[in-house]
Amino acid sequence: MSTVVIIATSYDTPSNYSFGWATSLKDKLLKQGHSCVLIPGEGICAAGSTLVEAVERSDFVVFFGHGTPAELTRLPARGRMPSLPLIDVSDVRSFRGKPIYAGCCSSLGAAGAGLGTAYANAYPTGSYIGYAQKFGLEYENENHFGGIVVDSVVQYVNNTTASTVVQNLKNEWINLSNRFYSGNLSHNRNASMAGSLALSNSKHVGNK
Amino acid sequence: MELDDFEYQRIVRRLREWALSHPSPDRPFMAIMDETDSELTELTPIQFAEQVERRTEIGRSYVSYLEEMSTLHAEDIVASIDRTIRANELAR
Repeated sequence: MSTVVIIATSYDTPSNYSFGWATSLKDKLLKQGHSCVLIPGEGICAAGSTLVEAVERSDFVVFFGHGTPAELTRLPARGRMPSLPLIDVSDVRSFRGKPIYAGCCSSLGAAGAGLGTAYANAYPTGSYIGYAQKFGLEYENENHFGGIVVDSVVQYVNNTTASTVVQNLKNEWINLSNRFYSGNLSHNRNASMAGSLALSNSKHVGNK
Repeated sequence: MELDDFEYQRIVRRLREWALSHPSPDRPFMAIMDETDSELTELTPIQFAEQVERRTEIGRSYVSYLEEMSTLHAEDIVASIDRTIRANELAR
């Protein structure tokens, strides 16, 4: 059995949905006998003791919220104040080489740059799952998006390799897109738009 | 292959119809989990239709999806938008 730390923000509507996924993930992992801690991300100082201690005691680190190519975001930008990172490329060693699942936009980074690349450079034998570009969700059908994300983390924690989890995720996003377009979800409200976002997610998920 | 302008405008018109038939046309219905300082992260139905009309990245991505899926399923490119319009009507 593994110990998992889930860090999730909930400072706006989309991150509030993904915080709900984090809660669901925690329930599933606990029922499987894993140990799991869910920490609201807003209250953690970047590279601070709470983060470091939680990561050191974990076998897997999961983040749900917003991200950029350079950071997992802790607090949003406001006016001229930039967003505040939970972890960025400069302190990637706060991950301590643990397997990472970054459920947010862009943190996989482009070729040769970004948080995922910095992680891979710091920990060549580590594993990091994330999205190379935008991650989208549609509110009316958010439970279907969350179900795919949660199940993929459960696979990861149960020792499925990152590359297999990513391949399964691609297939699941494509399957969901098809269900929204022509399957059992095609008459849901906003199904066409939800299908587009699911297909986009299939193209952007990847691992280092 | 680039969609011709006539077909593109058909999509835009149908999306406007969808947005105006939506129970909450001015409330966000979708989000992109991106950084919050550089661009819009949530879109209302009306804003979504505008994104397609302005051929932004989000708009072009959606139209590509319609092209891909309508070709795969051998149906009109606006068929799935029509289904969402009917879903809005049923929700009223």
